[in-house]
Amino acid sequence: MKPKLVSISEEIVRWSFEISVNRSDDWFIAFTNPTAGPWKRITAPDSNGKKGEIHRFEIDETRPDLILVNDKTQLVLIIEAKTTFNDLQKPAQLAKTCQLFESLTLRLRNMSNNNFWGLRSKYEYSLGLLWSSGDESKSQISKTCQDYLKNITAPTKDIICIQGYLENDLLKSKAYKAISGEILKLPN
Amino acid sequence: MSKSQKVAEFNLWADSFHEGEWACTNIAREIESQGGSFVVQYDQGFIPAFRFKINNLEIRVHVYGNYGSWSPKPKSLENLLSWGKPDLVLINDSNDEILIAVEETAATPTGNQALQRCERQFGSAIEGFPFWYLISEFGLHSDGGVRRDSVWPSLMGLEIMTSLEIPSIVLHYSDLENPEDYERGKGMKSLFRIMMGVLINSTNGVEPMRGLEEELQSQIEEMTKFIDFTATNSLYFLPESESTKKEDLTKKLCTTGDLRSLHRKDRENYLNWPLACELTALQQGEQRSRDLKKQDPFARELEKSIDKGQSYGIIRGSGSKPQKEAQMKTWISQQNSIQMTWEKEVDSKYEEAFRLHLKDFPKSPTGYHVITAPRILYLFDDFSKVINCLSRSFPVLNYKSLLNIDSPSLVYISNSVKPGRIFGDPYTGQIAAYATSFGALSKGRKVIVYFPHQSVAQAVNNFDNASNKGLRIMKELTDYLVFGGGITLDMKTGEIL
Repeated sequence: MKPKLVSISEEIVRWSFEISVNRSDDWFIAFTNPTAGPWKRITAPDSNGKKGEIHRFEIDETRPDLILVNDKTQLVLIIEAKTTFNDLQKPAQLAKTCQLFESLTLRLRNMSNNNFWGLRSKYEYSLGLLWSSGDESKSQISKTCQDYLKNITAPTKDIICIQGYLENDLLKSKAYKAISGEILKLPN
Repeated sequence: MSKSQKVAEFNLWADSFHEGEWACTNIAREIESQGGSFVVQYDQGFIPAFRFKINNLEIRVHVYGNYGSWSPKPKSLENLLSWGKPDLVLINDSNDEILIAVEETAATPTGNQALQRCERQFGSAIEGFPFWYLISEFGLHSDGGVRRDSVWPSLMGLEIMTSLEIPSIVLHYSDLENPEDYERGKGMKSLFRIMMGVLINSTNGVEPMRGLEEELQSQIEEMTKFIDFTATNSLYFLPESESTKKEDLTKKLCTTGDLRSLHRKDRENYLNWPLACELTALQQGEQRSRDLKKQDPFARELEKSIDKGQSYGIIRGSGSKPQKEAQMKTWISQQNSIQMTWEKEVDSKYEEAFRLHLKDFPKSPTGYHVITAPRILYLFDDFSKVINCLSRSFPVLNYKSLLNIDSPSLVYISNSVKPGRIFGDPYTGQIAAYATSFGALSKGRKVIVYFPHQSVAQAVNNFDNASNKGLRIMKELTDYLVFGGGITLDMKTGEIL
């Protein structure tokens, strides 16, 4: 008996996006945070393509949901994923995500001597928010992302939004910059 | 498709898509090593659909991650999930039969980590489904040291297999030099060889475990070796097991065909734990009472019973993590409030039998200690001796009706203060592991659980709540719950004594 999808959770929207990322030539996943399993490490390839560990999260350490890297555009995306946009609007969530983004950015920027991270420490670091589309308006998204930016002291000008949505029974995602509105050619 | 080709469909349900795809990728590795091949595509853009080809078989597996997002689910799966969510459940699509449930964890096996999932191991067994638990043998502790996995999941697994005749296998990965590394050790490959074998057999329409006896035997031997090597790290001693039992066990499991025993009448134990009066002089020499951490009348009597030769402790040491003052104040207030409401509305004869006061908990620089007895398990020769301890501790209550019960017993203590916590991690897992390991399935021992800092009202109010996983496990495995003030609940009838 084949079941039907009845709700798009954070796990599903993130998973669908990760499949797109894995199909991309430009992006790779340095970290993903499912509930369990052998994935609690940030990893990246060195200049010879050999993959190695950058950081291993402690059991009770706060983790992001995804870290993506694009070596061509020299961009690192640290992503917080939630089932709904409403979950991302909560003040406690906003504070927690911004704090994590700053501490993790600082950690990764200071890893220039790491064989597997090296030059990536000089890349641009951006915060990404990922959720499953609901009834949130453009103005709500813009205002919330401005609130996120106000809580971040690290040099970052915009928030990257990734919205999962269902179209003709296919789960897709779109990516854009929240403030400028620029549509991004992220993997899709 | 050629005429002789056989095709079968399976669904791999998973807690997360990552785990489901990870499992299929590892099954694919095993298939390829046997000369087969595989392809994967993503239905609807995200549902992994694997097609394995080996010999004349085409095995199709769809992965459904995140249990809550899908409907309808097979009834057997719903039943299994009500005991906790295993990470992977392999189901035959043609008849919705569960073939295998798997729990796997990357969590460092220190402290209570390994025991937290024992309730799933138990749930799978009691629902009648084969269960494999993949866990790191060596883990990195936050202090930088390497710790070895707990003996309890393996002990519990052997007891389940012996008494229920259903596979309940614990597999270990990693080694001392490479802690938490899935690729090290024998466990991961062995798990996926079993999963591949079950898929091939089911596609061929034969019993799932046919031809896998050698693999299963080897897994059971690894479990017994692990127990022999590590048990005395945490236990005072381990009883001798009869060497023929291992072979008998595999034979029993493999001849049941569909992996489920139809003959559960004669439940046996894998290990027969001795009575206190049967301990050797050496074993007795290690048994003496110790000081309480926090004063408690029943805990004091339990310790005294060791000196009297009525019981013995089996687990070495128990840690104490101080709790923060603000939390303690909140929890104490909540416990007292729950209790007082219950007394007023339901049973005023227990008025003020149970009240918590912060001043009674020993203070440390970082908070308050909640530990009462210096150990969490007592094995009694005689149930009536436990009742005598209760009578002396709580003289205003009447336990006489229990004095005629004749059975060895196990007393487990959970000192948690937080309301509701006793029905969740890690306590339900601990109860499942300890009760099963010491003979609850074979009814070899009565099981009594003592919650000195919890109000009985929580259990009474939830007794018929089927979604309370903790109470469901306690109903299956325990006989009496003793709450704060000695108020005792009969778990078979739901009545307060």
